[in-house]
Amino acid sequence: MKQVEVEREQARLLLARLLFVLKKDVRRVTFWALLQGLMTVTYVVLLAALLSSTIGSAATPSELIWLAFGLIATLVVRGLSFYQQEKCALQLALKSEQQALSWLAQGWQYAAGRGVVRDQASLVGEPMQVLGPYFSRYRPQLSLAVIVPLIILSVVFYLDWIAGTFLLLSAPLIPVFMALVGMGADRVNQQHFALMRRISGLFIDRLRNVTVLKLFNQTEQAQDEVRRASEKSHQLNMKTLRVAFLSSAVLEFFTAVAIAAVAIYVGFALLGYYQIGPASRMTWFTGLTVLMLAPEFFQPLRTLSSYYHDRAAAVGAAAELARFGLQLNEVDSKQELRPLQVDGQLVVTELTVRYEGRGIVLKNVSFTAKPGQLIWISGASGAGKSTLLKSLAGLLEVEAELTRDLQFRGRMMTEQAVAYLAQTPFIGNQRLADNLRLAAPQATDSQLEDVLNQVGLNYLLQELPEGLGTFVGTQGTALSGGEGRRVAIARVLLSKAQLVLLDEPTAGLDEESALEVMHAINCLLEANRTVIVASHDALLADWAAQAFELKEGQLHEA
Amino acid sequence: MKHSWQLLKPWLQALQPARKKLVLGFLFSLLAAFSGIGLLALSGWFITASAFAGVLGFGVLVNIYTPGAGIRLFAVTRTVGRYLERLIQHDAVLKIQTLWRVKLFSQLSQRDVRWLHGQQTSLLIHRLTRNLDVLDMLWLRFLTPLASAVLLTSAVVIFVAIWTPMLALGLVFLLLLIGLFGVVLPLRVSLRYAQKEQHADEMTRHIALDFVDGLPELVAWGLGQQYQERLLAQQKLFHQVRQQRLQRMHICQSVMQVLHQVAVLLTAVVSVNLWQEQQLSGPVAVMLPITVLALGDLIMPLATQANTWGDILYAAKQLNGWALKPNESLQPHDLSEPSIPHQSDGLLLAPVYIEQRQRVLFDMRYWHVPQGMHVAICAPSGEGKSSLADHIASLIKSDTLGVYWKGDSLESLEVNQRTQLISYLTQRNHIVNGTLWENLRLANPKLTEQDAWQVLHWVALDTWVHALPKGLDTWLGEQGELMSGGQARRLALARVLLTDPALVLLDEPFTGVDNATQSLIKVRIQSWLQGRTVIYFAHDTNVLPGTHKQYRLVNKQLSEYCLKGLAHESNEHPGGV
Repeated sequence: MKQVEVEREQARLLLARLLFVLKKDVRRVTFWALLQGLMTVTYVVLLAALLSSTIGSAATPSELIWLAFGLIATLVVRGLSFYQQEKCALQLALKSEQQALSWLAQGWQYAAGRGVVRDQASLVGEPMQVLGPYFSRYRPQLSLAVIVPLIILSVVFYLDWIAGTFLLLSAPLIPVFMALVGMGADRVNQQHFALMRRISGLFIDRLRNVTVLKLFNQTEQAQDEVRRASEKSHQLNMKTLRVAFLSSAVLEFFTAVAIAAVAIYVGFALLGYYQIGPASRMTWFTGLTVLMLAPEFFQPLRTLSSYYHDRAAAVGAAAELARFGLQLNEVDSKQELRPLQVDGQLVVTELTVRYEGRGIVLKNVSFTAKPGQLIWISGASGAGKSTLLKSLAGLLEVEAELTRDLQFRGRMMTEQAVAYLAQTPFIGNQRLADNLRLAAPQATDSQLEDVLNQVGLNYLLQELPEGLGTFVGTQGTALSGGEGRRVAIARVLLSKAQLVLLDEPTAGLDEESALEVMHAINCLLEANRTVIVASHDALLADWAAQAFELKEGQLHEA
Repeated sequence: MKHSWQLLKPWLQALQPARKKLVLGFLFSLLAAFSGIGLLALSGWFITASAFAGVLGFGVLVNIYTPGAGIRLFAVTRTVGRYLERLIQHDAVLKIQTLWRVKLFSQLSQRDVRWLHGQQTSLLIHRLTRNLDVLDMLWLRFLTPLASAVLLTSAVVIFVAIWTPMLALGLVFLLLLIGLFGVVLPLRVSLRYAQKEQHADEMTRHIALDFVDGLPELVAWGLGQQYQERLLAQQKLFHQVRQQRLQRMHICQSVMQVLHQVAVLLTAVVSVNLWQEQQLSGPVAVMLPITVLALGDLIMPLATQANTWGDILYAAKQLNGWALKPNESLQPHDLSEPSIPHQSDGLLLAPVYIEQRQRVLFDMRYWHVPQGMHVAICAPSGEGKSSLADHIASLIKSDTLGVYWKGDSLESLEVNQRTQLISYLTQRNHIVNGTLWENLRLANPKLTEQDAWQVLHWVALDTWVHALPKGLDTWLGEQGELMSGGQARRLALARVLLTDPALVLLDEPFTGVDNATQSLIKVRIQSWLQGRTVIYFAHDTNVLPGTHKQYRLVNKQLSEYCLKGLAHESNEHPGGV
């Protein structure tokens, strides 16, 4: 329960922060929407004037010309302000998404060392895209729903205070019922959400596992399951929808009743049945105007209630964004330290890393590495091998003095002096050439072919359908595990990186592929790079200049 | 138009069972909209009539009670109509959802599993559900509003024509223009942009996925900022497409709005004229423009609704692409070719040619495994072992790979015969969202509790399950998220052990299982494996039980080889050499 509240609070914070950034844009949209609302009121009044001055009474031609002119002018202004409002609203919606994405991407970068779950990439989809309508529709409508009815109310009061009182009396009913509807909608939204997730969850789950269903000849049973689950959700959904629809029907009913009451009051007043107050003086123009304004009085509120689900959706999305990536307070850039070899040596002294909740992971780690050397760091899983690599890569904040040659991260970033290869190195969904050029955008094709040659991948150029231009990665042509690693190493060879950090480069490979990867790593050594490998593979012993073992956060010579 | 009908036909035909609900819902939506117009029109007529009788001093006697009652009636039917419309329409849409999802599931499960391959499952599933959601709009957001707008607008025009045919003609002209800007143009805009927009959206997702995948490396290299800008630039591109599309829509909507007001004005001016020429009574002269004004509620949302058309068609097209492919019918392979030995024993693959994601993985004339033999295929991950296994198990059908068991093509077997013949432990665990018991029962619907505990003992899960408060009824969650990878692997293995096949395919059977447990399981399942033909697929034979033969992938061919330290195991091997 508490967790939910924390998430809600975070969601509210996130929305508030976005609103702060977008304040001006929201105001602009509100302005145009308001102008449009004003024009609608003016139009209705002028139309009523036109009708009442021509039918049943004779207006002078000049009056008529003025009226017609006014009507056309309002029409044009209204059309323009509609267009402007939509345009600004769209810009606002897109801007809110862009802002959210840039925060999210910042947050990801910040959390790079701690690991970002793959699923977070899906935040770029729906959660991001439902933020827009909250700012571009719900927020402006919130102001509109107060101001426009007030304007109409004052016009009606000016014309006829009894009709005005009718509207005024029915007005408080609306917020009350809106709140009811809103609460209902909230509940429906929550239940609907949870349910739909469960049902579509079943559909998705069975599709995801259709392989095993086919293997065990269970597809028909699964199909029945999908049908039953879907029907169940249908019934439950209808239950909640019925409540929600009923409450909004009540709201509409009161609106209709209020309009009908005004119409009947106006009618009887015009017939001269009432002799009290303004009713006795009711003119044809007043009656017509009041009648035509009555629906417009309720319209902004009804629109607001129809936008209510935009709000609910945005709060849900914001909660999701806040839960995953957008840790707002941490986005500020922090300066991190990492080692650099100025005189060609990497010197690590007394490196200590502490994780919150896990305590000290690395304690006073010190070693020196020379260019062209391979340092092998072994240790049981969980001993802190990856932590060591990540802190050298500048992905983690580290405590205490790091090296003799302290450098600030900012400078390191521009120099691109450190390459870090995760266990499954990153192969982007791009052409092979783009993947190789990641850190060396200027490299020529012949340079690319050259490094592929060095790491023993020259055969790829023949085997891949479009050579260097072939799309690789998860969506493109497949590279095997060993090939992917060698492509990543070739990429490092092209770059200026002096220090290369490799996390388990041979894990999951057969002996032959592992040897091929080791040969590729050897190319790095020949190119005089400093290579640090974290691995439990004994194969590395033959290649390492120094071997260390990590035990309980401390480095021992092996 | 014919093309779109072809795309939607299968989906619309699937709606047969819900047609009563759909018609009823539509009728109520008509009633609600009609009452809305009626309420305004009658009110206009009523107050004008009152004014004429009262303040304007024309002294025409009006029956004030009938119109008053009419107004109240319209107020009620409008509310009730809208309530019922919503209720019935949503009921119908939920019914549609069920029908379409079941239909899609049945079609997808009949196809071979290749549609699942080559793409990331999560992206694929996302696309699938998104397209279904878009298609769900077809009835409620496209067909119904469009049809009721056309019907009621025509009704209003006829109503106007009763009083003044000339005005009706003018209105028809304006309404046709409105139809052009409110329906035809938005339709075309949506057709032009739907696919473009979805592509740009998906590209953004791909880059986000890449970014998250490569995050540590990119950030370490100092390329994080650069990649972030790439992501934002792609989002901008996507936004540009959306902007272009919506701006065109806004123009259409603005023009439509002005056209509608012009129609109202025209009606007002003509009515006034006719009243002055005494061809229309005052109340009617006021009622007509108000009726046309009331059409706005119906007309204004049209553009947005019409703009879903392109997305709906594109969604249908994609779904059809996955679901409605004609069943792959394959040429029987010719075994009489002299170089292929005719084997009436064990498993024969001939020919063996597999191409996947544009790379040739296997290319050999035939491969044979004698009955009762235990063999291992050893190749690094990502080089097509699993694809070969999928082909043998008929999960993927191809006319470049023939599978024969005891001389008979697997193609010629019934589905249930085939599933009884082969048990296949796939590389992915495929734990379904349900209880442990339900997962085990997939393999054998007649499962007894005793059998269940037996296989759980074999895979060394029995102590764990005993310790669980709910035992066999423990809920395992989505993709087995409530168990560790090793436990899920063993549960998947246990399912295979519950079947009684002649041919067993085990793809990396011990992923994530620690060594001690592995050895335990290897010993316990020996008696079950005995007498069956077993093919192991692994990146490293050290992780497998003893086998008679081992194959490696060399030059896209399976070649036999011997590895250290396995000969002695083969001796104790129950199958014998």
